[in-house]
Amino acid sequence: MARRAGIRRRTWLRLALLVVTAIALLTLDARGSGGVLDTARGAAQEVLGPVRRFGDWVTGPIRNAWQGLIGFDELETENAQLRGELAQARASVLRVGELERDRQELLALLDARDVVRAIPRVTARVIDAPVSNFERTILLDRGSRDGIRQGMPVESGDGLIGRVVEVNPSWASVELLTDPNFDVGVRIVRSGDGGLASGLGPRRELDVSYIELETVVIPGETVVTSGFEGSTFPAGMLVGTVTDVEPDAVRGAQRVTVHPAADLERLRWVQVLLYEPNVAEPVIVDREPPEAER
Amino acid sequence: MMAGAGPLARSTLVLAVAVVVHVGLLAHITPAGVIVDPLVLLTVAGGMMGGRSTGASFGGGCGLASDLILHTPFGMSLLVLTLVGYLSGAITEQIPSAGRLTRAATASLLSAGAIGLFAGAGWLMDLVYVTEAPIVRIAIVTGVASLVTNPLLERATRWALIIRPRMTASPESTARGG
Repeated sequence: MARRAGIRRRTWLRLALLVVTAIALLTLDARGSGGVLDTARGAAQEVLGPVRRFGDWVTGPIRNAWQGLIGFDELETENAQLRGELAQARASVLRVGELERDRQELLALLDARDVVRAIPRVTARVIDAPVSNFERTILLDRGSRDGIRQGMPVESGDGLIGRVVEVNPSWASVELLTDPNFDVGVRIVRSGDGGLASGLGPRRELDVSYIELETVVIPGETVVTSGFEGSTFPAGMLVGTVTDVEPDAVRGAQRVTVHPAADLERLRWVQVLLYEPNVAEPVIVDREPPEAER
Repeated sequence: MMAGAGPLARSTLVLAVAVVVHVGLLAHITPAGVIVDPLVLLTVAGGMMGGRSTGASFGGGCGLASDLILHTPFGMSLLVLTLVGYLSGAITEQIPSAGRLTRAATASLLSAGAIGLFAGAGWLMDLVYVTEAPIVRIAIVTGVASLVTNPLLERATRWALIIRPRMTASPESTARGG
């Protein structure tokens, strides 16, 4: 009887110890003071990187063959879908051109310099194999060896997609702008008013707060990064377009909903902007220099 | 080579193999769009074979390994899999002489429950990317995977924890294995 009680006590003690350890680790991680944890995780990812790539290489043809076998009937549908996507992509090129004009207009309005274009960038492939069903980041096949640092902005051809949150020599992970932890200072092109865009979760739109009640915001307007002092994003990166505007009388501001310009579900190739806010910005002037300077 | 090794060395080897299989193979094969997590299945098998105390420790090891490879908050998998290992042992102790099929079915239900527990922890921590995942689908696929692989995983955990056949989840095995 006493032996059984001893066993039970030891079991509880062990369970309590493990639970307390887990809670301590969670606290460390939440406080962002998990330097050792990040190092350990980074080392594990680095070691497993080749395994992951090898697995992708080995299973790729098998997956393709399997898809070919089971998906033969669906090929026609897929073909039609791809034709639709091609048409959409063509329209998207036009839309991007239009948005780019809007962005340039904003820069001119704000008398801002177009630093975005002058920032050197690294093109990276999205490693399309999350290891968990609960992954919130995407992995890129480029890392610190290529000059990528934590906090750097990432964009696709269509616009901003997120920021680098973790870097190792050969890979980097990117937090998408729809992530609930993601915040970025933005500006509405036409009015020039600034606000804070926050992610609301996968496949959801962005919520922009702190837009004054007096500001006229119309659905369809373009939203770009504001690049305020200390921001890890340069001014003028395309974020998306306004889809809905609701006055929030309690907060004395408007709640603006923004649809991201980039398609976050179909990311294959992205560009990491090697932008660090403390580094002197490259000086590129959009507008013609004054007569006196010529 | 590992014949003379203790439970810690053997468990570490089994965990390492599970991680490699997870990252190198299972992450690329996604039935119904779901990635089967072998560490969850292994934790359940470990708890069922070793009892609540060993199950908690073995689950803790699996959780720590999982924390190293996932991007969820560090400690979350440790917490969840420790509880899963403990509960797997505690529940199996209530089924003293279960046949192979009953054990596989129990493992299947426990594995599906583990996904529910993970989602619950995600909800408590307000992790939208966890709560918004297709939990039911993930739980069903994980349950089926557990049903199929349970005999193999039982064998692996029995070897890792040095448990003789037919000694499953009794308080005595808990005291010795743990």
